[in-house]
Amino acid sequence: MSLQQIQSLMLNLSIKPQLSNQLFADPSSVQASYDLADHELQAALQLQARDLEAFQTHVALKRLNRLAMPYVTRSLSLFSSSSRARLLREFVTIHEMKQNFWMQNIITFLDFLADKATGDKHGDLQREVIAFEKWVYESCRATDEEVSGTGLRVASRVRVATFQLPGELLIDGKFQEALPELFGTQGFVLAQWNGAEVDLYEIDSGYYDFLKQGIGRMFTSQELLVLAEGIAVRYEERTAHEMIEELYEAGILVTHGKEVKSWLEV
Amino acid sequence: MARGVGIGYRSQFTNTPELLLQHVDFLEYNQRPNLEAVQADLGPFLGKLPVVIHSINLSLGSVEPPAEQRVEALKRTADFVNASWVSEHLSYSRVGDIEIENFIALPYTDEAIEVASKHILDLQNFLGRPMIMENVTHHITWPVKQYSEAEFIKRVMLSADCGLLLDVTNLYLNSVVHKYDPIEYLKTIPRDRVVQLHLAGHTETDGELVDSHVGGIDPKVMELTEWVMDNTSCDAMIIERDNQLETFNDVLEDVALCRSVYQKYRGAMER
Ligand SMILES: [Fe+2]
Ligand SMILES: [Fe+2]
Repeated sequence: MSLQQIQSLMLNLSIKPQLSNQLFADPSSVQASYDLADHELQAALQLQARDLEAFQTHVALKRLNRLAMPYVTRSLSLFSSSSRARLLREFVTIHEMKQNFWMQNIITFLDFLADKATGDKHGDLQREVIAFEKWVYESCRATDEEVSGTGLRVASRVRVATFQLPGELLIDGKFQEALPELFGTQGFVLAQWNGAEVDLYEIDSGYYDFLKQGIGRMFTSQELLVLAEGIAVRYEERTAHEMIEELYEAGILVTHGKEVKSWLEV
Repeated sequence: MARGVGIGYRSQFTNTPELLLQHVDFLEYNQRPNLEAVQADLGPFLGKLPVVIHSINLSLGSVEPPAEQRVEALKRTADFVNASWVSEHLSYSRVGDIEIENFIALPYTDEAIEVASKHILDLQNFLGRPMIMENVTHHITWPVKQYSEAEFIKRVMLSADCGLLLDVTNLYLNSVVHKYDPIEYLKTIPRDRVVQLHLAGHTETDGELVDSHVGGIDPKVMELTEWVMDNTSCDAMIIERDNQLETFNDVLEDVALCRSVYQKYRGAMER
């Protein structure tokens, strides 16, 4: 049945950019692999290479949009639309997807984009944004090490990191304006896995320093206060108590184990 | 029975059922296989607003028949909401182990008419409800054709005894991209087969027209809609919105626009 052959060719063309090159460069090999009659091959050769490319880009983009886009959207936005299209086609050529496998390919795709970033200042910027998205995707998915004992600790699945761009800008991903000028501004971000996705917050360097040292450890209220004081001393706008209180209320600091008095009562 | 001006249900509407009940006449619901999810979404509306089901992954134009599990799940949902009708796309997106999210236009040939019609008829029998098929946007069509797109659709409608879900935005975009006259196209479709419309805003990115389902339905799309309302028996409009959507309030303007056209040709709905 010839409709079967046409559908098989078209669906393969939709996910295999290399097949459209092969169709025009070596039509008889495509005719043989897809069992096309002569008139079907002649019809296939009337397809426009440009249309096929647009078609392949659409298919890749729509699949990416389905679920995976939020994890790569900032990185992709730093490439021009024509390079985005080219990169998508190149990626799906290397990583063939008969079904929508984008969710399994997020890190591979971000690494692929980082490799394609240019060597100039714009490239540094691209790499920083890609590093951010990779961190967001990876960090909170890794489970925490078991922490034993009782006391206070940073809530599980909380991570902090610093980048060469303001945290707010990275989180919003609205890079249109003022991006090059802002590159080099140190930004601090807190990420927490909420069970379904990653919540992101901009923090300042004080909280960053505090959490960086606190993650994965168990504290008594006293120890926590000592750590906070060491940091708060460098940031005059708040006391150690205020710092801990804020994190406690936000659920970033939690009590662990049985019956722990609130640090406030100590 | 669904009629009037409706909206494609979206999760953004969950918290404001009263607004939907106030502003629309029926709902179109994208098929979900999990009945608990359907109940959670549609609970506030069942028995109050008619519902139609929109299915996207049966690939009725594929030579291979649709996946049994999906067909059964569709029937469960359609029965659960007592759907006035069920819609799918007149296209294919699956062969063997390859499945994509895009709708590929069928070759406009007798063989494709035969294959699609058989699957539509079988499904219609199994569901025990009317089926309507949606025209899709396409960038690429099989170069050897026996029929125009409209003639092809007409032949499928007649041989499968199904209706047309006319996506007016898709028709407009295709007519621009492939340079054909949308009115000629509409004149080809049997007047009594146009059951429901899809209306949505579109965008242009890098010189390319995209059916992005944004707000603000183009005046040229509304012009075609008026032609359809004036010349066919179509009695149901659905607004599709997937972008620029935070709450139901974002679609109110489009609802009002469609309602004014609906009333002009069909009179006010009793509500
Ligand atoms: Fe649709
Ligand atoms: Fe549609």
